[in-house]
Amino acid sequence: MNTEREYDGNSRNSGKVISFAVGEQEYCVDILSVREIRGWTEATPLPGTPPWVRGVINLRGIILPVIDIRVLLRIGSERPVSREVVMVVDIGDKVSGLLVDKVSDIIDVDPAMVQDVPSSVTGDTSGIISGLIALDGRMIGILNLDSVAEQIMEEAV
Amino acid sequence: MDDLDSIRPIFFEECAEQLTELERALARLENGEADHDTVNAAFRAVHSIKGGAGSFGMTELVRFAHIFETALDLLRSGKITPAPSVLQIFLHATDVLSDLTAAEQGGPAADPQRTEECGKMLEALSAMPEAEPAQKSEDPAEATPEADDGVPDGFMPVRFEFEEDLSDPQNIPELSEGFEIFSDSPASGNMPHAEAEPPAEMAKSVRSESPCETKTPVLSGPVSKAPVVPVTAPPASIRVDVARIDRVMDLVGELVIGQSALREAFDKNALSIPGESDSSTLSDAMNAIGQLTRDIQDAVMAVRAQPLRTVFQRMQRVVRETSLIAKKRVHLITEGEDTEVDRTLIERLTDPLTHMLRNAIDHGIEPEEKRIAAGKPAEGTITLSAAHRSGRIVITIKDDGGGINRERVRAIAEKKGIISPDANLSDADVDNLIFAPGFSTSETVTDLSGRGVGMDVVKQAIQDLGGRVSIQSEAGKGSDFILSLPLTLAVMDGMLVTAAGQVLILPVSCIVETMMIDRKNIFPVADDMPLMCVRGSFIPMIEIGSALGFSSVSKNWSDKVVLIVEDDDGRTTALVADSIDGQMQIVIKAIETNYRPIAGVSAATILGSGQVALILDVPAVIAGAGKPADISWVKQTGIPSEMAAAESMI
Repeated sequence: MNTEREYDGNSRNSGKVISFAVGEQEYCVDILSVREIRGWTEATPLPGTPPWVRGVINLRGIILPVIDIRVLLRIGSERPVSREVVMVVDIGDKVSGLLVDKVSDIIDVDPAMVQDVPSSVTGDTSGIISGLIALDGRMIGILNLDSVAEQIMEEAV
Repeated sequence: MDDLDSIRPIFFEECAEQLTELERALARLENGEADHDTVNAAFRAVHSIKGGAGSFGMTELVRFAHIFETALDLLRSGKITPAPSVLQIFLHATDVLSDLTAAEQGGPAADPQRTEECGKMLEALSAMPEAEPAQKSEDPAEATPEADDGVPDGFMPVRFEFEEDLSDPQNIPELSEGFEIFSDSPASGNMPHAEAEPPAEMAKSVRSESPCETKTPVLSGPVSKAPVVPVTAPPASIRVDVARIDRVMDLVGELVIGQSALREAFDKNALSIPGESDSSTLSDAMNAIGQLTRDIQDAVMAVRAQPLRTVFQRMQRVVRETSLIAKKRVHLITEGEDTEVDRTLIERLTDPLTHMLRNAIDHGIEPEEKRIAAGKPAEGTITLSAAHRSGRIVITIKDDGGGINRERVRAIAEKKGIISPDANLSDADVDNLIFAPGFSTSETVTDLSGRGVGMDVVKQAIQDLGGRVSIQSEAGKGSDFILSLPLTLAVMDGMLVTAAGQVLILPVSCIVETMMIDRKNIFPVADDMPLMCVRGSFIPMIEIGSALGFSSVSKNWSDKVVLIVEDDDGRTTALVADSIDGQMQIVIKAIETNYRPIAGVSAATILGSGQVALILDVPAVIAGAGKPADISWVKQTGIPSEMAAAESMI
């Protein structure tokens, strides 16, 4: 498999990613997709949306939907109290907030570091993770923002 | 070439304006207002388009505009009279010119055969027997802006005498080798100074022509004969990128939100401020800022406002072409075209109006024989009028046709299964059937109705703009279609309510009345659809919180409030909320900009607290609650709470 192409699932490829933690797990998105990182403010829930859409918040006058990565990826541990942050990311021509536990660091990614997601990982989440990065004994999943966008545009789950 | 590319959009914008001017002038001529200013306006419009098109090397457009201009010049110089037959050709030529412009702009290519035919007709005008040289020479006021006295200030008109007629550059073959020439009207025989301008000057030149014109009587003739024309320079104007105005609009929206946040904080803390005088000074200042904020908002809205003229003028063509296809003679009268509305609205009104006019000609206006038999003038009249009425804009399309044939409408609705044969419908109900999806009174697919758009689409389009459509029809006399629209799509008056812990906003325009709930007036019906008795009539009750899925259906009605709302069809529903928190002007923000449309919610806004509040789509909430099959979204929990998260983990 061509790992380059897999990695391109993030639609942008600068060689640098921002990694973030959700529970015990680590994920990352390309640094060019990230507009800003801000603290969590209570969202206004939207009717008829899947559970992983936490609602909308006011980002300086923009109505910003917030996607709860914990629920989207079905990460089951306890929710940390008031330590959540929202990563504001570009997804296609839209802007969304990703609700995560904390932002960890910026990592230089060599395409050789990227591994395929084993085919045994299937189900709803399979498309959302487009690759795995092995680093210092950690595993960092590459979040495929385009796939998140597809999930948003699908009918409410 | 980059410079030219950057002003191309300006050129097309100006073309649109000039075409509007042209239509307007021709319409005036048609109504017998054949003064020279009007003829000049038409001539100038075509001339400007030609000049601009030449700069961009749009040869097709230049060629046609030139023929058109030549023909208009005949009219200007009194060689032909503005007879109906001549005006028909001019109107036809306007359409062709408009098509050619659209084609240059990247639209569909204009029909070359039509262009050719129209060009021939225009050229044939010059072969017509010369009319009496009209009063032209006696009236100095009609001297054209291109005439020698029409130069801008600071320029001295100098006339050169040439042996040959060099005013037509085509007579100078040497010139065409080195330069790109677009020709001026040979008949006008004056200095082609206007065309020599660099294209960047185009906007200026167009603007500067009018004041020149008003100066002509002073320079060129006996003042005694000329009517005293007050020098009315057109108001100075600049072109601004729409995005910049939208940005100002957004900022003003933020200002409104910030101001209401200040107000909220002040009201909360007012009591704790020591010293009464401080408090009242602060309060006065707050009120002043509040007033200013509102004034600024109005001023920005005024910047975005545009007269409806552009849309209305376009409708002349629609009527012209449709009546040709329908083989009916129809005259369109427009009224109130100076009525201003937000530009977003203008763009989205064209399609619904086009379709309603086609409908009026196709179905409203009767064939000529029938009209004569009914004692009506052979030519049908449609009046398109606009007016401001209590904070909304009302557009009326009135035809003097046969009115809605209610028996036929009913029969078709029954045949198509829209209503059951035994339905008991009032006249108004029957009239409204033409808006029902899948209804089309045209039994044979004609050129007009074969376009695959029904009146239901028109209604939907108007509703999407926050508007309503109603019909008044009288058999044998005609029908009125009345559109009522909000002035803007950017702000609205909203009623703040709390339901299931969420602040929600209802458009004030749909609220009929509000009241406290009274248990005695609630009558449950079998399937959990309680009815409420309001002054003797039973209306359905919908709990806002549960309809949106924010809470489960509660049977506890105590301490709740009721908002009686009316949907576009005039049906009333009682919406139940926990409390009403006041009324405020809100700035509408689309949710689909960054997410996707949500059933039951039309948009969102930002409250003074910075919190996002959802604006309820009242008709959708009512429809959703009435049809259990359609409310899959209602059953879901909209709150991704810990519970929802826990469920999805399983």
